[in-house]
Amino acid sequence: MSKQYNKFDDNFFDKEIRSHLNTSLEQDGISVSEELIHRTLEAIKKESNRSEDSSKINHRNKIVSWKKYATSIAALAAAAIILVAGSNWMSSIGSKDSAKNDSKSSELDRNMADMRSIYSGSDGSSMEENGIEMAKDDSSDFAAFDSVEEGIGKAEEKQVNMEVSLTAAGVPESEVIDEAIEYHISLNKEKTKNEMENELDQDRSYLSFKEISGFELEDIRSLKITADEENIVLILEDYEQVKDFFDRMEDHQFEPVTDSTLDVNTSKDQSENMDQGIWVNILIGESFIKVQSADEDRLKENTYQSLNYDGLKATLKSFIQEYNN
Amino acid sequence: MQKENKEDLLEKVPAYDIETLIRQYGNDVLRIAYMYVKDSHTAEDIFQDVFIKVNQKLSTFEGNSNIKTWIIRITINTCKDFLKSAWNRRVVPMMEYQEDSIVSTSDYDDIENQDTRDLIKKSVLSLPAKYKDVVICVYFQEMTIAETAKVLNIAEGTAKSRLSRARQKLKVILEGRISDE
Repeated sequence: MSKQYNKFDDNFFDKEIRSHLNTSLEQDGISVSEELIHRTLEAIKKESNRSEDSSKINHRNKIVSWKKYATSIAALAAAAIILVAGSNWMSSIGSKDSAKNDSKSSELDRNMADMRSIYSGSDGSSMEENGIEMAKDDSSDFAAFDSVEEGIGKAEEKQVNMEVSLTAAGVPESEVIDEAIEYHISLNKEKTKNEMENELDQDRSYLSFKEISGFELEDIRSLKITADEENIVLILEDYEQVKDFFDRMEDHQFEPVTDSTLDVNTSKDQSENMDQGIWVNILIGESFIKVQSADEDRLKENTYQSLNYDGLKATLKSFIQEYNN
Repeated sequence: MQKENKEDLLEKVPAYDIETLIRQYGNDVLRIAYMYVKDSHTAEDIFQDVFIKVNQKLSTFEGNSNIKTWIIRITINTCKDFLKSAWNRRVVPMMEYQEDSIVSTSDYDDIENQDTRDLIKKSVLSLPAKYKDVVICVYFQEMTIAETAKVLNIAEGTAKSRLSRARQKLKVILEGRISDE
């Protein structure tokens, strides 16, 4: 070769590297083909359609946040009313007049009875039953919100609404997840949050396991199952094993209990742990399932319940036993 | 007033058509991706991801920089994200090892048997990531130091010193091998 590069001057780096690289890469076939352009345009079109669909999800999250707001108000009101009720009780203890005490006690009892009559249905159903009905009725979030507000108003009048607020506010956090069994699923491919949300956008009364996890089987890199009760940890990386797990879980159906989206900037450590991708942590407790997912800029948490908990537990137990041997 | 300024700015930004951008800058994107991931199929996947992102963010492009520089920045970031992922970390080190370990005599012999262009390509691809970044920007994409610093989100001084080190490393790899041919 006639060309001499014994002197690597600026000209060599500035002018020749580019042309050498381009020619070499072209010879290796690293060039954009019409087929690649066509595929890319198709992918862009698909992605645009998904983005449009995801706007529906955003609308749903907005409604859910109202529900959460309502339950928060109910919980706050409960705390305030408990304090008032506690104050009445203290004053009744502090009173020297025992007859007066009896009178106040009777008044409190009457107030309690009044409250029970307010929250009992016309058909004579109990207060707890009505409360449960209110929490379950998700057909209209705004209707639920109104009924909770109305409940708070009535309770404030009578100064006692602890039982109502407990029902309206839902199950306390500590009871939601008992971490009897914990699942951790991570991906080998980054997905857009639009994709995840799109998969959850199903207008059905129940959701499948694939839908609550938000992933396609092909996207899962590894599946870690921790059964705390039995001190067993299973890590599945084989496609067939993960597929087996998903196949079994597809027999089960779930429905959302509460739904909340927490927009937070994840810390650097969290980002590094997530490898710039998406992870999902599925905690299955005694009566609730919590799905936590995260991508680059957002943490999301949803709570579900199984339509058949005994069946779900049997599936999990059998799967763990089979793969632990 | 601010509204007017923004409207003025938007008027100055030409309307870009994604297909035109793909055709115009596609080879640059694909080749840069290949230089990072060293696999043509993966490079094509990244190519798609890059243009999906470009299409999604095109409305936010305010024309403060050259559109090409903006696309190259997205490309480099997408490649780095790919290489950072745990799954790919498990696969890539094997390739990185092959590329970075041009140290044994047999490796040098192999390289000598390659033609000049292939040798230059291999030399660039064998550079550690931080040096490869600046070489790709400055020498392959003919960016200025200032543009390079902006794309890589580093100080201009850092870009200069990395470029100088990259040049030294390339000289070490190339010197004596091409000149003897």
